Amino acid sequence: MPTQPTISLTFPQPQFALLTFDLPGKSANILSAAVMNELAEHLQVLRANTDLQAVILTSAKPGTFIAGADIREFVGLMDSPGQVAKLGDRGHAILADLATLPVVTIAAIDGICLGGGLELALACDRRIVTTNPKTQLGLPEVKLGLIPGWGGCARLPRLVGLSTAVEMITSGNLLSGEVARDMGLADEAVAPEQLLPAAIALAQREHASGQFLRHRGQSSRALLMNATERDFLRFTTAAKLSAASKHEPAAMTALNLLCDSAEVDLPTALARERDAFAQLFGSPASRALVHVFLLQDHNKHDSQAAALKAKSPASVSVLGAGIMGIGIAASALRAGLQVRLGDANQKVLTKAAEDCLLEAAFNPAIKSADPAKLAKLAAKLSAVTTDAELASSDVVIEAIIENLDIKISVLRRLEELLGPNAFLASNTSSIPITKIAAGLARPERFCGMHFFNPVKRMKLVEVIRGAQTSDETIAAAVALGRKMGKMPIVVADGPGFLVNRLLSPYLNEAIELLHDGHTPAEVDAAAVEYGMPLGPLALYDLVGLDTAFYAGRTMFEAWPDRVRASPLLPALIKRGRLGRKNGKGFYAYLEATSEPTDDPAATEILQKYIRREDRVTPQQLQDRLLLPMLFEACRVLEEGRVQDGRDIDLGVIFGLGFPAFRGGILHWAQQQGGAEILRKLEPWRDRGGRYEPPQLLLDWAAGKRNLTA
Amino acid sequence: MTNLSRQAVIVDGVRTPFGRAHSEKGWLRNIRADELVSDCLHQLAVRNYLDMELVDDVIVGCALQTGETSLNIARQAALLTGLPDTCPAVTVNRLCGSSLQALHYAVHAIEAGQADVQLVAGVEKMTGQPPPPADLFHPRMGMGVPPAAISMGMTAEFLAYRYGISRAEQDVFALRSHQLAAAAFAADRQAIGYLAPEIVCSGKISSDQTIRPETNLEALAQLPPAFMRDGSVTAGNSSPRSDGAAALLVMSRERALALDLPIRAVVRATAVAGVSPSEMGLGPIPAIEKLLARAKLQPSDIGSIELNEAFAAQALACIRQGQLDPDKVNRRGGAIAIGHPLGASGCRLILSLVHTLHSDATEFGIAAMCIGMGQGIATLLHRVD
Repeated sequence: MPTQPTISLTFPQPQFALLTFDLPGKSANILSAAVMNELAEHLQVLRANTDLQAVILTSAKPGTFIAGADIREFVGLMDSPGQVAKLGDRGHAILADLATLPVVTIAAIDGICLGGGLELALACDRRIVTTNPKTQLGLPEVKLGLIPGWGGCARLPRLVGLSTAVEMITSGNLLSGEVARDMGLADEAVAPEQLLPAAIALAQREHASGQFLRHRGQSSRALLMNATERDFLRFTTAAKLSAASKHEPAAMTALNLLCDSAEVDLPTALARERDAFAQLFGSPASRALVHVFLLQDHNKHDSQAAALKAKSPASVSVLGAGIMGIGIAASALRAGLQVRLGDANQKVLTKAAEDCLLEAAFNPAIKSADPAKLAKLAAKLSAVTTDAELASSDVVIEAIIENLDIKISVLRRLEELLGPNAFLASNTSSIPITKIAAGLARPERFCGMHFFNPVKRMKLVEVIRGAQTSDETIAAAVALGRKMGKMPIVVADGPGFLVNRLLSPYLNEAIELLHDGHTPAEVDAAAVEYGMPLGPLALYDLVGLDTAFYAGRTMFEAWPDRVRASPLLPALIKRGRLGRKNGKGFYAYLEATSEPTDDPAATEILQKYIRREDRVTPQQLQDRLLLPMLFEACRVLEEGRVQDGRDIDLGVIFGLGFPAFRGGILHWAQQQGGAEILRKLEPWRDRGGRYEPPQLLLDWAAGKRNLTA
Repeated sequence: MTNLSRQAVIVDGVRTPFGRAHSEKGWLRNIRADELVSDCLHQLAVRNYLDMELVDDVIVGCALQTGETSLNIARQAALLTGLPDTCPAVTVNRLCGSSLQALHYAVHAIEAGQADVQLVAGVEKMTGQPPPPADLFHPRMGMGVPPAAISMGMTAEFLAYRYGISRAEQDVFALRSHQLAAAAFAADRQAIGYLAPEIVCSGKISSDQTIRPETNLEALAQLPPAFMRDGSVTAGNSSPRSDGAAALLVMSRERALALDLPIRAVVRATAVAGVSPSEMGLGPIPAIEKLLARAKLQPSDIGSIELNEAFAAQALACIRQGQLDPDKVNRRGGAIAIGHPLGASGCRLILSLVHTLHSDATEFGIAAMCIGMGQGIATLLHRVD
């Protein structure tokens, strides 16, 4: 029990109880077991108060009502199912207690109201929300591989209808206060300063009319939706969810639970919810997704402590108005920074500035740029052509051609003009940061900031620490990445940094599998089956075989003992097969956007390079793709190139599309266990350096260390 | 039963060719909707030597009333055609059933003695039409209706799933539609004079764009599902989005006799019905039931049925669940081949039905349509020689 209570009880009016949530020392309220116990105690006291007329629940935290249940508390329970059931029962009982108080209960919601927080609000008779943009309501449990477990699956459809509830719970999407009101989730949406007065006024009306009691009777019954419409809802939603449901079953579980419980009363629906929740809790997907949630939370709040205190730059110059430059500038613009976009080519620049503006002002709801936003952002973007203008920002990020000499000469000119606290960054993906720094007068004020394409969608940014980069520069770059809404991970300079270094063995192994007699389709199918967004050979085609070849050469030069130089790529390139960009690579492409199809011409070439027929099962195909990646991840850890294993899992998920429901390469290994990983490795141990397990992996397998902390 | 002289009769009808709705490839893409209607009205007036002063009302069906169709397109088309200022005009919307509804209103007014000569039309310009806005539904509609019910393709998939209609059956039905439409078009070219030609030549275009006489089951089987992963409804077994207009000249029997105009068919009964929005495709079934009850006829009395082919799955579900005789349905092909410009399709069905009644010498025929969000509409015609 915390010494300081979270919930305070006051009486803004006689007979009107106000329960205010204010978790000591935290920026947001969460419903830990301790807080739930406090609530239970208050409810017990209030139930005994025979003069009571209304109970209002609210939060003292600005921007947050209740952010949900305590996920960290959950993690501890994952291996003890009995505990989980107990926690669920306890939650259900306390909320049932709230729902059956003899007086009207009102949730007064300003700020985020998620998961258990919304379930608490749903157990109240009425909900008033604010028009504050921070007010967002939702049940995002599916994003953690779970379903709402404190009555949300039973109460939400009985309030807003089955279709809306199915949509909210299976998507996990959040709603604004106004939308919540329009769909009947909230009774009123008022200005934040009106929240309490409105709640009190509503309490007075409800107490006088007693209407809430009639509604309680209605909402405890089954739902009104005819069987045909319900079948249609189930059929169409299932079709949407079916592809993902194999690996992430939570949304489908929710759909079936909601549809199956539409004809039963509330207590039965609650009991079914409890059972369905227990089945998902602790499942592999849920463990992985909770792990990813905690990785993100850690990245945002705890990692790189110095950066948390560092002031983020207020202005950014981006030099090089290509695809990456435009993407970086647009992200910065969207985040409210002053942006200067520069390019040596004036003609390119004008069009690039336009594209940048359109991307930054893009509103998905109207599928085009928002005119009001466009005008606002235009004032913060300038297209510049002189070094002096470029150098007047707090940071200059170069995204020009991948050529060491050109980069050095441009950065040199800029650093002379740079302000005393400003720094330089390079978006290079292949040139060592230390090598560029060697050409600069102040290498300590220079780092890499490696964004991923497309910048607007890829959340990861690798902040590369060169040999001489200062802590201040790193802190400022991390702060800038965060301000831009990205997840920065700090990586020590080295070939491929983190993400491309881990991608390389995976791609290499795909080609080794072709040498062993597998077809591109077989290899890719195994990767897609694992959960990759596309297979490694389709990825080669997307990147371009020539580009991939040069990137691979860097890796080969760095680690010739474990990177195999296959003649296959050069053979394909020599025959003019460059990938998607010219319609043929490992596959053929009818048009630039077509699905890959098998190509007899490619097969003919590949067949010449089969070294031995050594075809393996799809499961083993996955092992062969993943183990070299895992070993490389262990070497990265061994070399201390990242802060800890969490950055690796975050990096592979958000940088190279590793499936979140696997939790990342290290989480996957941990879930398999050391013995299993070594067993998977056994058949390939004679395959050379790339299958040589690093010492760190052996230590982990021997139980001497953890991989992800 | 209506007084015989006050019966509403169809004396003539025309339509534009139907074009594919496509901003680059659609044959009618550059012709405005009001002009498409006006072409039809003009043709009806001219070839029937119609005294425009006699027209009591112009009733036009249109489902997607945006752009040039947004502010009562009927009135603009009437003025564009040269109808006198004194002739009123109204646009009606029962989505896909709009121009059958326009006909129904005209019939009801004539039967009630409130009007005598009516120009009825339907039009849709689907080229460039935006998809329905995300906030189309009231958020609380979800209480009773899944929002996906606005996706007609999803409702077709649902019917296929519920009533076990296979992909192969749908493709066979689509092929039949193309083959019959192509044959009817070829036959009409030689039969001009027997009946007024159905198609008005708008500019240089004289045939429907989406009929594919050369299509085959292999080609149809290649097409991917259009609405749902692993689904069976494809672009090949659905009606295409189309541009086009159609119009009918409708009047009381006594007026037709007085003007010495031919009576192609008498409208004997009308009906509309509601069904579950998720099964909107089955709307024709209760509408036909009502229609037959009103006319005191049995299904066996009906010689031909024009059933709008929104989707093969939907038409087959109607045939199966409504126990319609498949041989009597869409003998001149259907919307899968000819196209489905929503508001114009009702009048097009009437034109096809009138042709079939005469060419097959059958007495009674029904035109019926399904309507988005769960309605059905049906019209009973009686051939008069």
